[in-house]
Formats: sequence, structure tokens, C-alpha cells
Amino acid sequence: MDLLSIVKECRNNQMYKPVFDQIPYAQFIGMDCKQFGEEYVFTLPANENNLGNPTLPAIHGGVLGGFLENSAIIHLLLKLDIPRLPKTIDFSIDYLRAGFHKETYAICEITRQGRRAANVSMYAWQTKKSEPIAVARAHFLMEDPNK
Amino acid sequence: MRESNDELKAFCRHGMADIKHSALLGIETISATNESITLKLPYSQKIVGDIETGALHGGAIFTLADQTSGFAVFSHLHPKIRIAPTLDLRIDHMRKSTRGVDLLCVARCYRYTDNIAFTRAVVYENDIDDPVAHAVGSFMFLEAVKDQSWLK
Repeated sequence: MDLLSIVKECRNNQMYKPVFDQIPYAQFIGMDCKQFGEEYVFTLPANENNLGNPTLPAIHGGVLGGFLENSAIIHLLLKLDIPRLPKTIDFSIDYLRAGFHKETYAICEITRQGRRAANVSMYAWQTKKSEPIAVARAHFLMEDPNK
Repeated sequence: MRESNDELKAFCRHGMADIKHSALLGIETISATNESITLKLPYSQKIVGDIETGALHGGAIFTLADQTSGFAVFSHLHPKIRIAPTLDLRIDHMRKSTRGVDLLCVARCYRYTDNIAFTRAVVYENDIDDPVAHAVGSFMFLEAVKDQSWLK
């Protein structure tokens, strides 16, 4: 089954595991997605393997970056009908607070969608949504669905 | 380029073992001088981003760049190490990585102040002139003042 069919089936069933199964890295860090109305909330459960700083302990900054980047990729797949995985052109993250050893949440917003590229902003939190632990933005290159 | 610093290299290797996620990725210290750090991310199926091409996920490449840049900050200060978490990091992907090929990352802390350290990093496979990604970052030292002896 091609990627777009998998995505469409996931949208219908509101079960997103098959999309994540397409991306080994997503399984490696153990992320998932939940739908609330038309909103997607991406989740990264507490996982010892994702820790960086051993003394705090805190989530590795790289994992947080990877989690947000992949959230944006899945968000684009779920929101748009694109035949192939979006390619990351650039990704920039600001760390606002330490990410502790507990579940992390993220939401994404497509700031601008062009014909070939999309600009996505990402927002991550743990305890309270009003206390973000990181924000990020990225550009993705997408294959034209009409080609 | 300054000569290799074996003590610093040993410090990096020792430190990596404590950083659970980097140890799990198998990130390895290749070389360490007071000017730059080179780390290696071994290719693994587990961290692939696109199963069709076998290219590694941007997140894994980002982690390599973050880890190398972070180490480059204290390479400058070694042996007077100060903890400096990442304030921000930006990565540009020039091309997708090749299936089955390990990634190298060389990072340099090109400037630091009492509070902030600035880094540049290049991710490549065999040829640094054909990079996979570039990253720039800034790191903030946890204690703001270098010499705190006056406090005591």
C-alpha cells in the first residue's frame, strides 16, 4: 500500500500507528499521536533511552528536536494529501525549559503552505501548555500531488 | 588546527557513556582538539527516516549535531569544564544521507563570552566538501560568571 493510502486509512480509523510504522526513527524514540477534534497532539512518553543529562535527569535536546521535526512531518502528511514523505530543508529550535523525564506533548501549525515548500511551527510542553519547553520552526520540501 | 588532546578525547568518551541517548545511538568520539570535536554516528536501520531511500532521519542527524556542538563548547574550556545546555540550534539539510554510510560531524566553538558559546558544525559522510548538513547553535553557561571566587 502506498503512503497516501496508509495516511487516508489512518485518518478514517483515527489510529495513527501505521503512519509511524513508515518511519523507523519515530518508533526508535517511541512517539505517538492523538486526535482531538481537528487537532493533532503528538506525544513522546517518558523513556529512559531518550535521556541526555544524567544528573537532572533531562531529555536529550536532540531527541526533543527529532520529536518536533517528526511531529511536523506527520502533521503535514495528515493535513495534506502528499504522495511522499516531506523532506526537511531546515529546522531551528529554541529551548525554553529543561525537558524532564516525563511525557512530552507537541502541536504543529502550518504557517504557510506553498506549492513546493511548507513552513511549519512546532510547540512542545510537559506540565502546562502555557509553559512551553521548546518551540521550533522548519521548512519542508514536498512533492507536488498534482504532478 | 591544534594537536590532538588525548585527555579531552578520553573525557568525551567517558562523558558519552553517561549520556544515555547518545550511547544508545552509538555516537563515538573520533577526535578532540581544543579547537574542534569530531563525532561519528554509525548507520543503523533503527534511525532511518525514509525506508525507500534508507536515508537517516533528520532527528538523528540533529542529535549528532547537537551532541558534537555541545562537546565543542567544553573542548574550548577543557579542563575547566562548565555545563552549557543548548539555547538554540539550527540545522540546514543539504542532501539526504546515503544508505549504509556512517555520518561524521565536526563542530567548533568559534566564540564564547561569559554567558554564551557560539558553535558551527558540519555533518558529512566521507568528504567534508560534500556535506549532508550544517548546523549553528548557541549554548548558555549555567553559571553566568566565569570566576566565582569573589563570591566566597
